[in-house]
Amino acid sequence: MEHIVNGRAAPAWTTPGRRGFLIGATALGLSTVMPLRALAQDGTSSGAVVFGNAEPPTANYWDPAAGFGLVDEQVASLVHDSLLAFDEAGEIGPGLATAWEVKSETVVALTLREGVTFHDGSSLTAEDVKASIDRLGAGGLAQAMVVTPGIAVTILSPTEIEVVSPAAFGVILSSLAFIKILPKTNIDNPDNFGAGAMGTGPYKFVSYDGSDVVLEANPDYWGGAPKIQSVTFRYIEDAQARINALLSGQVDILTRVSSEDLSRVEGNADFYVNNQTPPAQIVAIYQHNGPLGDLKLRQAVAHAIDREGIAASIMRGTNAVGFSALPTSSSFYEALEPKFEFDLDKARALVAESAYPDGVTLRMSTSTLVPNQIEIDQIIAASLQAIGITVEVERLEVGAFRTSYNTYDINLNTLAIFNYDPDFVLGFYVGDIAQAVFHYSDPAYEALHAAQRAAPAETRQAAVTAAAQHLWDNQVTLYLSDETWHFIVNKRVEGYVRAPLIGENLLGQVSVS
Amino acid sequence: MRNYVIRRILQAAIIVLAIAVTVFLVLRLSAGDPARIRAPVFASPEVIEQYRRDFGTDRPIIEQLGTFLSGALQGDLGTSFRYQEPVTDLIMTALPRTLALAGSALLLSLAFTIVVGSLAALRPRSGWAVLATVLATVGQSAPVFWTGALMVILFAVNLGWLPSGGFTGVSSLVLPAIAVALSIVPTQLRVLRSSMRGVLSEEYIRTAHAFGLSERRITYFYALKNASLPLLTVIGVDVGYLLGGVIVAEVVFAFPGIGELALVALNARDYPLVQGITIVTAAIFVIVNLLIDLAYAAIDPRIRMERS
Repeated sequence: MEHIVNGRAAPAWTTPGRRGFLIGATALGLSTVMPLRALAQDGTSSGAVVFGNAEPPTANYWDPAAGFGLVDEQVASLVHDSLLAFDEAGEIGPGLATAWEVKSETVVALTLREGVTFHDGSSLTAEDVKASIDRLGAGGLAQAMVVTPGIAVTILSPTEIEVVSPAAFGVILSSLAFIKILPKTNIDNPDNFGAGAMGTGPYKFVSYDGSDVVLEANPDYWGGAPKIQSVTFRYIEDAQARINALLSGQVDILTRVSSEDLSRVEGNADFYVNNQTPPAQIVAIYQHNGPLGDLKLRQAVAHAIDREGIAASIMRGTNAVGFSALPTSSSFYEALEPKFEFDLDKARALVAESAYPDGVTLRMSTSTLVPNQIEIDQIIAASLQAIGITVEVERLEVGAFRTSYNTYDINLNTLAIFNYDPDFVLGFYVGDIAQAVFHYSDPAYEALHAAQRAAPAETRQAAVTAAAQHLWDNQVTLYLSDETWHFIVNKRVEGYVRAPLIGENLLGQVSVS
Repeated sequence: MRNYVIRRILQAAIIVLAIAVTVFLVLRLSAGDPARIRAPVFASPEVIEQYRRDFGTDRPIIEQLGTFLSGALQGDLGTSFRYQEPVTDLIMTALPRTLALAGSALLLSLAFTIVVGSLAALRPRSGWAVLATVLATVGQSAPVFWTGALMVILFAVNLGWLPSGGFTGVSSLVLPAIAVALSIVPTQLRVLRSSMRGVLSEEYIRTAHAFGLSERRITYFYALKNASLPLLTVIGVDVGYLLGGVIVAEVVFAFPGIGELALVALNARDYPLVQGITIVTAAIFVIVNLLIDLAYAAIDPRIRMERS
């Protein structure tokens, strides 16, 4: 097992050695000087930036561990800190921990940063860290999926802790870079989360009025005050209203825009586009308790659908097409074989070998949840018709679609990785989640998933590839394409930079003119 | 008259109660699970069940109905699933904005209707009559989302004169109020114009001319008063339309009113919030129509005597 010290070392998938040592030593020197959120030089914040979002927060309940949502994560990434932090390239560096050591496959030792306070002035303590992590290990919370059950913190001293996992947990560093550290008082009194978010982050929660979540700069932030004084996340339901708000200057940054929106600003010097996307993909979810439980049929479907054609036409070339169960923008992504290329003859041959040689009827639900979903679903239905598979498409309102998707044989959805680790999306195919989402249970895959989750840095790539290969070979679901998140930015926002995450944890480095 | 008012108030209360129960049942019987919608697609069944317990949707429907009705009768419309705040508070924040928008649109349309409609009736072959006809046609055929989108592109995006959406002050009301007003002007214009033509041909109007009264006084004091009764009926219908119809304008202009709140609530299957909005808007509609009925009596003494 490799010891990784002060993690700003080489990426996990490179080999250790002299290079790793030098990088690590450099990281040790830099870690207390240059936090990843190194911010305003003169200590003053100014200006305001407004984000335009297509969805509101999932709830007016600001416990980041209670759910997964775009706006929830945007707010949490600014109001809270994690022990470690991701940079623009997805590398892990210091956060609330200044130093760390992976002592074994189950133990990580960390040194906490001193002098950090919550927005209410109370000091960050080891007890707050323990409460934040232990609650995830206890299960029951939505974000418990990013840790191993039973994970807990041992406090060695006011600044020295160990995170102890009951099982080998090779992805521990990614998890520690994602888990938000909350005040123990709020964890003990969950009603406090209804009053607003409270953390140690570069921004303080000000208000949420149903449309706008407003944050203001934390002048006492341990990494230096952020450059922008005020940040607003504004919900604008209508797509046309959103782009108009950007063009008229009412919002500065549009999040996760469509290809149509991109065409509206093409050639417009007042805007630029940032494509630093969280790893995300568009999949067609199969229900394995029906005809798509047949391997040959699933492989036939993969050959029948022209994924590159759909990406080039409907998606206007904005999304990459991968050859893996992982999005191409994911860490540890490797293009796999076979390619399951578009080949109707191969598809028909596989149908003939399947349990449905005379064809079969599949039920598909469609809605407007996924960009261009209705058009894509029409192409899928037509493509499958060409190989003898009849698809009955039923259009549903979004709420009905989200409730009942797993009662249909096939339908589109999007999956995103919140912590920049493939373990997040690979975990969808095991246990209760796999049963609920796909009606899928595969002991062979569960073993592969467990192996990649436990794998140390030097063997992680191989373990992840093995798990992804199994899903890919078996076409457990249709991996249609990446979903690249594009952000249109008004040029008054200078130096907009993002990590490959859902949230905006690097916004403190950004300024407005 | 007093008995008439009391009887109408009781009728209104029964109507609102019936609407509330109907909406309650329709929501729960229709497709969409608020817990499933709140949770991401990859949520574990355990998390989804916890949401159901939090929302109370794991309890029998009858029990939920009982809780809802007993709370509503005490003025408690419940707690929003999404916002985790009292429904009453959410509505009281959004409703004034919608009332401001609807009120602005109604005032705008009435001002336009009274002036142009009266002049068009008075001078049937003038430019006023042509203007009334053109506006009625355009307003009837152009949907709010289209006129709204055009105005945003022209006045907000291209010219930058007004905000494209949101609610930052009085300037935010201008474009949506005009868009909504355009949609209700046609019916008002037609009704008033037709009614005015009828009134202006009455004998007492000729008598007034014979007495030497000015045309302006005759038109706006004598004729308009009698011609406004049908317009009052249309206003009553327009109020209902405005309360429901502004949802389109609120979406196009990203205006944070009751309509947009209802849309978010519906998409999230936020049962308490949908129910609360329905009750409040139904109550407003019923009360406004009651006031219009009373206004009839105030304007027309024949109706006042009949009801007495």
